[in-house]
Amino acid sequence: MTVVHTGPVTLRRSFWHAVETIHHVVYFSPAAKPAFEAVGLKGQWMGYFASRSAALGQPGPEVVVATFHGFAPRMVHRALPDAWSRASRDDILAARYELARDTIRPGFEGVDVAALAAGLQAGLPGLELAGRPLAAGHVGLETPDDDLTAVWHAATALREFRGDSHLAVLTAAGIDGAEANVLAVAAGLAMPGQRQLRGWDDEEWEAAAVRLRGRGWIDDDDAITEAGIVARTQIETDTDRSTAAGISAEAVVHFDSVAHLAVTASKQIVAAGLDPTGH
Amino acid sequence: MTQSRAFWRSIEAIHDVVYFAPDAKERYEAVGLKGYWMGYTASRSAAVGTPSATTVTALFHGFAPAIIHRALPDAWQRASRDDILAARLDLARNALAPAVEGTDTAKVAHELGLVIRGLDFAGKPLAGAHADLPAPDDEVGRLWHAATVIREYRGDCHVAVLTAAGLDGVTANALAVAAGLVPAEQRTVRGWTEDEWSDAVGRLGTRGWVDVTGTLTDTGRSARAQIEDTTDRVCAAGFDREATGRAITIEAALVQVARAVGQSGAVPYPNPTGVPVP
Repeated sequence: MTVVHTGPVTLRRSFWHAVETIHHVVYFSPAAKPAFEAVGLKGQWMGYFASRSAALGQPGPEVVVATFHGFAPRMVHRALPDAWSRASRDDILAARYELARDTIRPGFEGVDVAALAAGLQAGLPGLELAGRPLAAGHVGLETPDDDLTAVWHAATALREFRGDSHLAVLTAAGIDGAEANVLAVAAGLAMPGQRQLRGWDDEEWEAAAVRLRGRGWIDDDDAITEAGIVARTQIETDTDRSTAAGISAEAVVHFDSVAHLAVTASKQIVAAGLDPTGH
Repeated sequence: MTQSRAFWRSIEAIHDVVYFAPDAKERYEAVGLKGYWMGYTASRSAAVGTPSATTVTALFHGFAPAIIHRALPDAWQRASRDDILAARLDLARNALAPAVEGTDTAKVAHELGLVIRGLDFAGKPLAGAHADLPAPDDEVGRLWHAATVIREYRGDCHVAVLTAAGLDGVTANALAVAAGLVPAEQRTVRGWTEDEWSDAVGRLGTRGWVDVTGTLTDTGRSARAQIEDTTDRVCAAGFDREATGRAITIEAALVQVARAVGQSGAVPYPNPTGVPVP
């Protein structure tokens, strides 16, 4: 297969938004913790780390620190490798699919799920995987048999594809996990509880803030500066560019042809109150 | 402050002995693998676990997916991950032990072992995977293990820079050939077809990095230099203060170890990594 990279061809923000919503509601479901505990894992975070990284195999904690980016290493070490001796990888992946299917189902009322699954899946082979490990892990999984799970699988691969591209941009800019989070809070993209949510202690958080002040991106009150706004915008623009460069023209056509279905579903997911981020 | 090129070249030389050992193919075949490339692909990715071919395509960057799919997941059925990792470490020990005799291996191994504790692995998956492995008990084993973590760390930084710049695997290789960093055989060594390669050269032409004859332009030369400089900066940003200090302090002894490796013939120059002699 020859993948033609066209560069400037790009998918609309609304498509990425929809893909993100379809993917991430699984993390907010109250059924998540019991679902992963039922296969042997312990607690919300072990379920999160193990289920999201299981596409890579049974990775060690530093592989997950590397590929998730943004989490304090100690937080990942509390869950891994322990999770892999508590539950089988296959059980974790199966539980995740079942949870996803049950969670997103209300959003797909009246949506042509078969067409959406076919369109999204048809585009996956056109993703350039070099440098994008979490997307690659998910593309490497077998395609689920039923359409709704196949939609979620493809949305997940796509979400991680953009996430991997974003990570490459952050890494290439020399921005580490704590700094990326301090910047996101300063930019109003994350809530002030982000520090605890990602496992950083006060000292690590303050050290990251000092480094960002050194770049001139936040001021002494941790408010974002003009330069910080420009830098944050550039990170998003670069992420869009890197993402676009990795999607073949054929894949763009496939994704575009079903984008309206994904958008409808994501709006219905939000309307059903399944997404606490609410956008 | 960034680590010197001599530091990185030395790390690369110590790490690379496993790829150039004359008995590499034989040793991986002894644990059940088939052929040099299956040995390479499985042994380098086994630190991650038993990853799928697509995951390894992502992590290695630069290899044609077809060449990775020929080796994986087949390799994981043929040999156990533990046997593969043990064979790799043995290869390293056998190649390094005679070469580094008379150098301060103990000190270099000790210091590099401390350096890897001060690295930030966010965004650096192959380095993280090797850091997850236990450090070997012996000096030469620890030297190679630490050098491997640090080598993959720089590789991961480089991959992030390439990916952020929208350069895929084949384009990155076509650029390296045009820049004279690696010989023209790189296309076949990395498994790319002629069509894939000429498409990549076409994309470099669109960027203005090569001319119609495929020769590197001034813009291309600047871009390639910028990729290398950015990689150095990204690497430096992930060394904490203590690791930075240790890397500087140990550099002279490290370079001596690496030169001894080069002189022993355990790593030939020039070679497909494109990294020159330290």
